[in-house]
Amino acid sequence: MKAKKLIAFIFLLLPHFIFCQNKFTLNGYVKDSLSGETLIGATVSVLGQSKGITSNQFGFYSITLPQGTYQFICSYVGYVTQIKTIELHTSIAYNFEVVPKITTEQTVIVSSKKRDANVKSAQMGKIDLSINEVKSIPAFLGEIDILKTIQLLPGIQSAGEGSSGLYVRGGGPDQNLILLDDAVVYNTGHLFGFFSIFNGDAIKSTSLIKGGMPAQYGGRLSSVLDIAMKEGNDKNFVVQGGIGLIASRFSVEGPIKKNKASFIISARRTYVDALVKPFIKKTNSFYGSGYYFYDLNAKINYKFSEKDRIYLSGYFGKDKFDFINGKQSLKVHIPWGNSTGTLRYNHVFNNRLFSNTTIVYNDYTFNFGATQNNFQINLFSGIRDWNVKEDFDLYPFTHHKLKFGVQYTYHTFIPNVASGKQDSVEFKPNNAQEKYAHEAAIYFQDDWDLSDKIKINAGIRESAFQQIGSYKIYTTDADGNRIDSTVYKKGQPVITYFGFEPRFTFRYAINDETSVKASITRNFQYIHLVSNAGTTLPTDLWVPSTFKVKPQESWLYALGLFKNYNDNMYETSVELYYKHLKNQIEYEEGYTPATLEDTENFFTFGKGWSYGSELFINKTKGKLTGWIGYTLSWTYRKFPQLNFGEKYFAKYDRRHDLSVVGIYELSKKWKLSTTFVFASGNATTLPQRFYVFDGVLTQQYSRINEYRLPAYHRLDVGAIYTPNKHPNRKLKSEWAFSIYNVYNRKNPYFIYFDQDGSPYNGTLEVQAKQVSIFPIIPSVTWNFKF
Amino acid sequence: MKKIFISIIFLVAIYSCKEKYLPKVQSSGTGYLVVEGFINSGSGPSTITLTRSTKVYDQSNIVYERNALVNIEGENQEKFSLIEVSDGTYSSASLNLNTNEKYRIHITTQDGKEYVSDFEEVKFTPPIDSISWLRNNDGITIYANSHDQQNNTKYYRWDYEETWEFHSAFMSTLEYTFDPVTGQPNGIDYRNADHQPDTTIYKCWKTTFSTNINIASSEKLSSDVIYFPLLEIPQGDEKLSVLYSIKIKQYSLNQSAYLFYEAMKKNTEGLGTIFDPLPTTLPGNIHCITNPSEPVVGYVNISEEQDKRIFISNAEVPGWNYDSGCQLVLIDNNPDSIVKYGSNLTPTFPNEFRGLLIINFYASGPTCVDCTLSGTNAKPPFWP
Repeated sequence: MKAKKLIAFIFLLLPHFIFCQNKFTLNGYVKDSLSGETLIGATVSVLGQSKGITSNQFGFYSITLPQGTYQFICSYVGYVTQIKTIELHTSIAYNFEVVPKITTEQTVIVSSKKRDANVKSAQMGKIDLSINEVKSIPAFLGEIDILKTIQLLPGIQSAGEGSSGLYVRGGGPDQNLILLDDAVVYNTGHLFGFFSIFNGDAIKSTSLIKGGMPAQYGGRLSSVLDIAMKEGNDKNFVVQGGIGLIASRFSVEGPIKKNKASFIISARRTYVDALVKPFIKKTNSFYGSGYYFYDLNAKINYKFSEKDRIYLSGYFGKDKFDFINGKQSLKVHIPWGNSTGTLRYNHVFNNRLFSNTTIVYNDYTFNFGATQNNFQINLFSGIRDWNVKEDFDLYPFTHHKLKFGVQYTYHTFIPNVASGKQDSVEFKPNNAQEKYAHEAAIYFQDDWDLSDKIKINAGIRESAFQQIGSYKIYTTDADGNRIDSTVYKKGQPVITYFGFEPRFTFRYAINDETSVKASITRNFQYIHLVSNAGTTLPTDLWVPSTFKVKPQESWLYALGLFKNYNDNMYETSVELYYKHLKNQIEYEEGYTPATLEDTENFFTFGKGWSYGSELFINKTKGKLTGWIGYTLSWTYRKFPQLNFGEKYFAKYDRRHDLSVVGIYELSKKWKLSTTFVFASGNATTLPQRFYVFDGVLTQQYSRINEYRLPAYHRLDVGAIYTPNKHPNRKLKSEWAFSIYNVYNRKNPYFIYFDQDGSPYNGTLEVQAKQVSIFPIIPSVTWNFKF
Repeated sequence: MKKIFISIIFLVAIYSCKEKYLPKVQSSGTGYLVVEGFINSGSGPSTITLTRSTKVYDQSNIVYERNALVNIEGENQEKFSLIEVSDGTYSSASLNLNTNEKYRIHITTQDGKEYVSDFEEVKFTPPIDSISWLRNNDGITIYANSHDQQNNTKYYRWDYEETWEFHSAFMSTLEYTFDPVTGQPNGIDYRNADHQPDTTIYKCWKTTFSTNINIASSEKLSSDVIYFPLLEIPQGDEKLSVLYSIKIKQYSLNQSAYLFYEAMKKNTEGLGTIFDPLPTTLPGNIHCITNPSEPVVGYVNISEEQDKRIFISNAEVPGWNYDSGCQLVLIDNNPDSIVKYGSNLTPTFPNEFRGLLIINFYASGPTCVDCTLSGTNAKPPFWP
């Protein structure tokens, strides 16, 4: 706390030095005029000047200018731009309350970015998505999905048919930092990843950074997905929800005390289990089997004063799968899910220094319980974090915006802990290899307008990770037999890793519509998700860096050209990138998860690299909006222990990846949308030949990922129908229709080989079969709001 | 746990959509050489089988590698040749190798390519202590038990040969007579003049060989003792309907041979879906010296063969309840009924008589009556 006070003291003094130059500060929040929600990333700029600032994560902004009268422009996606004349002869606090366009024009003009921000800001590879935009796009089974919308952007790939997993610029699915109100979300998918856990009704904004990661973020190599939950309307009560084919949503928000405190509760649950139940007879041996998932988001906030505000938010989600086989008297119960809780405290020290203190608890658990007759077995695994952060935003001079802070996390990793029971006999084998670690980071970053042409965003992050006991290090002889061990007691440091992570981005504005940007960033990742199958499953475990497992490292170099046309109606960009990855982890060849031995003893380490180019054309205005994103990329892995030590294509290697998104405002009642995706086939390992060994037909496999599955392509269409609102009623409703996979393309999910007959009498038949999962699927959802 | 997940997804996937798919897999003209077998250092022949891997879509027989020159060579220039005893199968005389010497296999194929295995030491195989079996709800499990006091064996492999006696469900005294013109059955007659059943088609034997890789290791145990569940026989199976016998052959392996078999086992079990672990490369010990980059599948290990046989009779498994599923059908003894109801059946014994004339008789499925259709009636020499 001493250090914190000292820092605060220094920055309290700072403004005094600046005031000598006769400059004054305008600060405050940017809010939605109707709901009172603060707006993240709104621009406050000065008319006729290039000076401008964007509001931070809590909607706070601060701008310092010489004495004078200025016209301030406040603009934000989907809101009417507001112009306010302010006479700055003393420092002033002013909150911009901007009006959403929907109430003025009935039609939302959706644009993904602030006006020309893509050209003007130094940040590269960042995309902000408004929830409106996500809602406009055809949804799979009617469930709007932020992650699936993000997959339509260049440089981002889907992890597979229907999957909400992300592969960013050749990085694995564990290399994305996914934050929900500052809480790390370890498992983002429901139902084996076919749906993401983020309920659109509870989400305010989403921003994805795939390159040039700012110093405030760390701990992952590839990207940051920062998702902010709504705070809740602090003026009126609003109830909204939707009824879909597989799930329904319901949320309530409103003021607890007008303009002081508000809340939101949002819930979603699937009801496939409830719909199916009446059709399964009680006598059926599978009676009682079922599957469902639910999400619950809740948030409250309280404003003590204009300078102090507190937020408490939480997310609870669970998937539950029950399998009952009466014949074998087998009962299996598998629940898994995330819980997160975030407490944040905003304090405005003065008009140029904003601070936020965060305490986060999050956990992901996976349980497996099975009962057969009088025998019971239980398996438990998970990851649990306590996290404390202190972040500062400082606006010391006109051309600088500083961010700095410290972060600390205490991790607990629980791999499969098994216990069992037979009648009254319980057994609890002491097989748990629970692991513990401290992770900390300190960062400093400056957003600096060097001149009208040049803008720099430079930051440094120093991270550290310490594995602590209990832990055992074995010494082995040449044959790999254990001959000795060193034992670390609980809490005793085992090994500490440090990571120096410079982050640098640079923008040169050629003119008002064109700029060139470059970035170099280095990242460290201390916790890893290792999968031994070709896809990720909820059973995959997060493991920490340990004495044996070194942290992952990456360097990312990116260069981009950004140009807008037609008064920013068209935003275009071309980005080139090269990414180098060190200490990548895979399982050893032939590993099968059967033993109780610590999985890290089966890891093998190697490197990876990826390069490519991304083209993005985005039409932001007019009746027709949407984008075309195209990525051409190569991704390799090289492990001394795999594939004879030769390089091979990573499973995320995808040569061409094209997404086309179009949204068309047909009338006030109808909004049409379509998406088309094309992706080169996934790399795969196939059997090349067959032979018989010891009487068994055996496959002779190719090198790792030597072959390609057929290409993936799909067209979805959607329409949103908004009937005329009854003038006397508050209820507003809309119908969302969508058709997934319109032309019923049978996209390959995987290929397997069926064998029949015997090779000894010439009846052998071997047939490769392609499995596709989602045919054409229409859906309809009814949404309401009052 | 993961398996359950996989089966669920697989189920979803299977019910969703499956279609034939022709991957463009490149594979060269002739397949890789596949070498099976081991060098028997004790008494008894060494047998090596040579086959070729076949293309994914060659739906045909095993391709045997014929007319190869196969020799076992010692580091001390000893040489023993193997003779092709049947297609692709090469066998030697009893060798009784010097246990202090190292040996290898040397193969020259018809196309002139030469293949050798690494020189390996002769490995002692401990005898099988016993073969035991346990009855449980699902049937019986048969175990191989062995130990090595010197703690040298550690890695074991087994093959087995099962033989069982079984009986036709019904004895038969009758057979059809056939119309010489139409070839259709038109009546019945006694098989034997004394009206006794034909015993040659009542009692038979069946023999099968193991078709899986059975390996175990005592590496992680404090002493070199093995108690390995080799196979299960499901409750009510035909194998134990009368008398059953199993002969287990035990071989010791060195560590690298064990790793080879382990990898092979994993590869044969994988379905090749995205939920399975990645296939493993096989760490064999055979190389092509003519073309070092040509892959060869196989591991030639040198050890003795130890074997043991046990018998299990139906009386030892009370309540086995073998059910052949065979049923009797009553057929009137006239050509029309026989053609209509009995042409796919075999007659068993008469039911009603009028005097000596058979009015109707019973018939059943051919395999229910004639055991030689599914086995042999030649009694194996070792049978009691």
